[in-house]
Amino acid sequence: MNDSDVLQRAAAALRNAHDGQREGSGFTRARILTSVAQRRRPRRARWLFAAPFATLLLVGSAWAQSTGNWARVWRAVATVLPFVKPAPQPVPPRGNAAPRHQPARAPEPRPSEAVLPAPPADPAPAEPPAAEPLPPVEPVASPLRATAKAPAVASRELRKPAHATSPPATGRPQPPADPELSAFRSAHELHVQGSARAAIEAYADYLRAYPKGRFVPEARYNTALDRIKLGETAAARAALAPFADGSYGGYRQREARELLEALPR
Amino acid sequence: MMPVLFSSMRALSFDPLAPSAELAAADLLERLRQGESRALGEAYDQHHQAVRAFAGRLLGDSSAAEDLVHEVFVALPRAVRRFRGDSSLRSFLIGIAIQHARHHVRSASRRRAALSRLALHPPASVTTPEAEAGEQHLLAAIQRGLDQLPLDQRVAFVLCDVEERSSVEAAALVGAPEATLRTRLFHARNKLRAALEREGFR
Repeated sequence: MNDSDVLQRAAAALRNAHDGQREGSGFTRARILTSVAQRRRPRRARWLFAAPFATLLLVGSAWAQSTGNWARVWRAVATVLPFVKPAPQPVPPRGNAAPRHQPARAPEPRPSEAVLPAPPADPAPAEPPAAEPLPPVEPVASPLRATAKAPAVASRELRKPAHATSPPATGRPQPPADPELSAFRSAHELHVQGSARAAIEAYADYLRAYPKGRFVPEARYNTALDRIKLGETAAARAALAPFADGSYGGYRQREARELLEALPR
Repeated sequence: MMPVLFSSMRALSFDPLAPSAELAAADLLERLRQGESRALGEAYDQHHQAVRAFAGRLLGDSSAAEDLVHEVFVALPRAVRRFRGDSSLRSFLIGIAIQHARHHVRSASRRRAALSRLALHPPASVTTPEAEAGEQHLLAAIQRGLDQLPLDQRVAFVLCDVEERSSVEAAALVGAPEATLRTRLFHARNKLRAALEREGFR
């Protein structure tokens, strides 16, 4: 018996030991069919679950797009899902005439406005205090830019501080890279906190530093609101007048008019 | 590795089929692609024995072989979508078994090693004549030798020497060039021969 004989015999022994016959092959067959069926079931269930949602999403998107509510829907989604970026605002048509969709495009009223105090009982001094003159209203070169871009940018940018005010999970606040935004944000935080005097000063600082900045209309409007809070009615009226007469297009025009009507003369 | 395996199976006819059987096989394949469970049952009925035999020879363990058979046929409905019909379904199933064999080989080897350490390895049937008892010892020795081989060499030995397939056919099954397969087989034979010699088989 030589080496190859031993190997051949061993191979033959292996071949004969496993010929593929087994009594439990029927059981294995059933096990295979069950496993495959179980594997298919979740896939089918997934489709049954996902298809109505996908249809709903498609129909909803088409509806929102066709009715012009896309931006509003997207904003609503963005408020619920923090990782969704807000959609860019559509550019309104040129001219001072209030466009049809203008009120819908105006940024949502912020909590500071919702809790606006009623005008004080005693009338404010006729002249605004000389110590805090409002920065002169810059003639807006392009109302379109002021009306459409600024509120849109402001609302978009201001959503960030809303998240930033709640401490992030890492406990490490992100330093603002944009100095203009940083200046406006600090003023806006004072405004939201109700520190009207400090907010007016901070907004004035912002307006001095960035007379043609992105948030000028927002800063002026909020300054007017802070003056109302302080009872400086005349100064508030002066600040609101450009908004009411449409110098900023439709931006805050309706609110400014209502405030002017409500404010004592 | 699977695409190489399938492409190298082209032009091979391991399992010559009559024309009518070819039609039936094509129909079975089509139904398998459509995910018909009855087709899977038919495929099992036709090929389970060959797959189980190969799995048993490769793993040297009946229960591990059964697990591998289960795995192969469960993987078939998905794998068959990539099957282009270049070889027989049986060869394709053996190819799937080779792909899935690695961890079964490892666990079967471990189990065998543990059993032999504890001297619990099922003894050869002592009631048989002496020659048969000698063959059982030889079988145990070759299985221990196979456990020492890398998987590639083990597969090459089982395909060529145990299942007596040609090197062309075996190379197509493992998706390697024929020369590579021959080299693997050469090393496998040398190592097994040495292992058998160490166990006293000459």
